[in-house]
Amino acid sequence: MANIACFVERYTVSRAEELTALVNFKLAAHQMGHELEYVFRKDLAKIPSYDALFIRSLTDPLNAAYVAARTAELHGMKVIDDPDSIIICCDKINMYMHLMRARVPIPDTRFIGKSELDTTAMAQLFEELGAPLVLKAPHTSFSMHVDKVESVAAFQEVARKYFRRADEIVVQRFVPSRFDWRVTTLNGEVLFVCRYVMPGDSWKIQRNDNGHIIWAKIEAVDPATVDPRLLEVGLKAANAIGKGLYGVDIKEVDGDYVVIEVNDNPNIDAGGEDASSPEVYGRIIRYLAGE
Amino acid sequence: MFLRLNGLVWLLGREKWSPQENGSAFVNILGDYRFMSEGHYGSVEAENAGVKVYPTIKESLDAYIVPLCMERASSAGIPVPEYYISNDLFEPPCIVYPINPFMKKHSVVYKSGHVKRIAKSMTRNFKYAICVQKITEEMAIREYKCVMGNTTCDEVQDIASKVWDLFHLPLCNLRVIENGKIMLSAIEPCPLQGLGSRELKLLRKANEWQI
Repeated sequence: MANIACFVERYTVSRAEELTALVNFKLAAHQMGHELEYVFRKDLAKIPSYDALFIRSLTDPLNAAYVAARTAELHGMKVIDDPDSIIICCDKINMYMHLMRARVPIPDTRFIGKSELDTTAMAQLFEELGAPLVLKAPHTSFSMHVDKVESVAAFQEVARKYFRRADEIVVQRFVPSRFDWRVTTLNGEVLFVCRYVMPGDSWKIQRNDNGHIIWAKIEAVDPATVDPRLLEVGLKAANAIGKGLYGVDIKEVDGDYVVIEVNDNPNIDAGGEDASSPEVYGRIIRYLAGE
Repeated sequence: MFLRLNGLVWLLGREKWSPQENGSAFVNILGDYRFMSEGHYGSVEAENAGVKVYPTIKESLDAYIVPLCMERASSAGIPVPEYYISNDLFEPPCIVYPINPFMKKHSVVYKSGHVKRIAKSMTRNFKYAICVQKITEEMAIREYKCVMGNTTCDEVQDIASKVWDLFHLPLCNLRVIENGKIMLSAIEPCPLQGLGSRELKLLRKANEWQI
């Protein structure tokens, strides 16, 4: 029997779908003869007493979830998300470098440093990659800190904002689509597939209507029914990062697939991403239990 | 940009690596390796090119994130103060370090009247974690610059060399707590341009030692 800790931070769990998913993990563990306990920040010192750690909290190398992950790793525990995956996925520059090195198809991408940014460089980027351009801060998540710019002036304004926390940013060719594929993988295998359909006319998975956030509609898809090339691209991207749990966002462009990003700590909402793959909870528990 | 001196390569900025650099060891001497800083990207570039670099990204995170630093340091025999993680009020006197992406500065709290304001500010309204180190009022808090495990103060030399062995930060600031015994409180950035002449001499000596 494995004793699994599930690290949760209260401020990152607010919706019923997230809470139900957490309960589903506990139930799956129980049904398989294991124990899953929720641990919170105050319990960080207790982490080494468990056999494995599962993080269901916002990851960032500078927050408590990373402390939990690294503590578990230092004590030889199996951990999702492992510290290396957090380090790579939470820094889009590092993440795209890994994808480039593995020759994963991605939109044309450049990195620009704070000291390199001038109007000539920006004009050059518009010339090379076309307009509009997509700018991303390295720590982007849930479509935040991602903007589309049409002019040098807008580029400058957005870049200045992103440079407050990072010394480099990502500049990418804009790839329009009505939905993103999400291929979620664990240990080099596909766990489930879904589509995130952009809300209304938004180009991102979330739309802000006067402060009210509307999220993409989740359409779960049976992995057996999708183009095998989609799964191949998803796995190739995931394997470029590591052997953890990843959500690979992919756009379909004229029958080809380009990876937009690889996320650690991917979303698993009850009744959302799991709708066509209810066995996902058991598969993750089995991995953590070392079965 | 990097300089090649006596077989070691001193990394002074983000570099586009070429295959012939493989096999070399690169010493990132930007001094500030904080996540998403220029120094961080120097190591990111090197790691992605498959070349050995000091420090790795993981080493710099282990060093700068105080509870991880405490855990690793105490396992390596470096004295550290008693500490705990919280996002609530704490008991003074203590040193409080933020654990969130938005704050960098620590606070030293002696008076209980200051606790609520500082706790609220450092946790961003009790949302994020903090690492609290217990101190006493008699303890002195001092900082020393370290260059590849060497420092200009003999009393902290042992800690400085152990910190280098553990984290491989070529340049760093050690914050220590002194009360007869010296304990490591935190490791912080030490930008290259902030080095004085005595530390620059240490850098030159470290390079000679490496030949």
